[in-house]
Amino acid sequence: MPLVKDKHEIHRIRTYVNGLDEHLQGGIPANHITLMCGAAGTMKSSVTFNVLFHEAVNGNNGLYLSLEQSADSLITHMINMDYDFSRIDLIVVRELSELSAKIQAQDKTKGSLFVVDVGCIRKEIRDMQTDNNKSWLNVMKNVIKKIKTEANMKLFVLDSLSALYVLTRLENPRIELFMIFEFLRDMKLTSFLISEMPLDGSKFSEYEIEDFLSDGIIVIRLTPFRRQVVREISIVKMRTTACNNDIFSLEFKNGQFYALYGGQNPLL
Amino acid sequence: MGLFSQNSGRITEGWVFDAKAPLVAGCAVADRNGQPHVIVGTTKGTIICLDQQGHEVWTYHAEEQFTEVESFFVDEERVHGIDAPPLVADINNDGKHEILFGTEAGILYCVSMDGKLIWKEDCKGTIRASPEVADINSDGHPEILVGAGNKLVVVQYTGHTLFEYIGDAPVESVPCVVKAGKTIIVFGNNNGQLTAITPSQELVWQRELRDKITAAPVAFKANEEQRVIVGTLGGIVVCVSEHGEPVWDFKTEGSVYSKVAIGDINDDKQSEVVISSCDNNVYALTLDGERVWSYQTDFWITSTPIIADLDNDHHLEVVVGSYDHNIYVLDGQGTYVLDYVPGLSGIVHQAGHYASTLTSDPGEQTGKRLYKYRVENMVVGCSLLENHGKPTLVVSTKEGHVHTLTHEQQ
Repeated sequence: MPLVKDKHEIHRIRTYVNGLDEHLQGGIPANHITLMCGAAGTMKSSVTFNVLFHEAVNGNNGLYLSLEQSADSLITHMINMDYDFSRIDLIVVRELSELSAKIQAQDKTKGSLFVVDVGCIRKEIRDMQTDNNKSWLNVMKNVIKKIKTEANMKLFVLDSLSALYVLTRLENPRIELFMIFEFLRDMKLTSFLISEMPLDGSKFSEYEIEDFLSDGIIVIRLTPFRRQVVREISIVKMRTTACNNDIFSLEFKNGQFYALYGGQNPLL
Repeated sequence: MGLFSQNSGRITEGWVFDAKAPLVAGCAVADRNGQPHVIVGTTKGTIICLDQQGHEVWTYHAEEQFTEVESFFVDEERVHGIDAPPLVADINNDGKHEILFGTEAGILYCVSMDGKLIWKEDCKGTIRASPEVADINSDGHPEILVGAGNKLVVVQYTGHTLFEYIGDAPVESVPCVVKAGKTIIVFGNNNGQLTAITPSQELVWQRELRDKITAAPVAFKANEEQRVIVGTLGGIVVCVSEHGEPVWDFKTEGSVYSKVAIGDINDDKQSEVVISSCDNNVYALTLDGERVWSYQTDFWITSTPIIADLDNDHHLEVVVGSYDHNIYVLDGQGTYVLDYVPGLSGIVHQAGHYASTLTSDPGEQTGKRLYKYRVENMVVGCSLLENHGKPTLVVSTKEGHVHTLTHEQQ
């Protein structure tokens, strides 16, 4: 990232969570790598997809790389949340062999959101020799490189780091994760890496090295209170940003995410 | 260039070749039309043949074509790369050397000394170690053994796969063929398992050494039985019997990447084991694992030590190349260094209880440097070339330069 002369020159990407961006000086600095952490059911995928959707509406292309959840399931889920995909150029890739053609057929009048369904691709090439444990990591990097160079991609979501670790055995996590993060920085992408936290919330990421390598950590938790469960979102860290680290309630209403009641308990 | 000598004569540099790509550790020396040639490999996937004057004779490019889908699965910057030194052997008994090497893409190549492809075989797994050649089934033709992905692959001299032995982890160590009571193939893997199998693919034994093994096991004979020595990235060098029973181990403080060298370096009629380690030291041990001497350089040593009579004094020297940019030529005998300086501080003036002074050795055997020669970059490999009867060191650096060094009498 080039040096800026004034803090207002720092380009920021909105989280599109109403009430949260105001506490992030307007959003996440462009080209940052942010861990989106949470247990199952916390809406990590929805929050990050929401960023890509709104950026595509604004004309910025993004890639959602889903390693386990199918594209069909993800898109159906988002449609059920009232996302209007006619506003963007939604491109679903289920076979690697069709990626070039789909990039060529891009609708340049709209921002594009690529959803690459790696689960589907895994079924497609299950007979292919993939004993080198770096193969799926190479797939991720090569897909990113191709869409970055040929479709001017600006944003990237990996869903999820945990699934990547299942596909790719890291022999030396400290070195290999450093190289993965450096690759994303070199690509000049604003990246969200979804990290599945254990239910007890004892750590943000598998190896805990990711916490130090990332530029930001956003945590979403499910908090039971009496017989109610609320989602809570907080910014644990965000480099180059004066942020409010309070815990906010996360709500989704009328097609919008909201961060409410920062620092206060809404149920009392 | 730096030059330092403590002995008669000096180390002089001959030709230098710039491969313009990072070199793999070490090089091979091969005969071409009756003349020794140097064969080097690069991480960019080229094999280069150099003559005795350091001139490029030919270059072979290992390049594979991939389908669109396959190309997503490879690291395009590394896929054609060669990670280990080529092996030179006459595998088809035609009286000529052939060059064998593998690539990241998992292809095993056999190239003639004229730089022409003889055959290639897809081993379907990344090849990160040099192949080994041995006639494991006594059919009169050598087989080629190579680690590829999680497998040990055995290929016939014609280029057809004979069998694959599938293990639990990638095999990045050169296999070692031990001809004891029966022939066994010993190899290490990235899970730290040292495995011995028969040529009919039966598991003979397996030892858990815990840390990744990239060094080639080395076999030697002791007490009427074959033993095998191998180092691990955990820094332990282990000696096991041909039956896989532990005999001794020796701990260094750094990873041991390369195979040990064995030779009688101190004229005691017994062979010694020489180890290079990333704790910056080169160690000389007896065949029973007792330290004879050690010598500390300023950075890691990842290449195999060379044992040779470099200065023609009829005594063997130990040569190592270090990441500190230097080549060290060490006296095989080592030297005894006292802990005190006679005449300046008497033994009674040493610190500690007097009983320790009386019961401990007054010094220790240590390595003795004869020559040190500085090259422009980290030394990743060192090989020996007999050039008209004169031993010549061929040194590979990480930057991609090949240097030749010889000893000259003053």
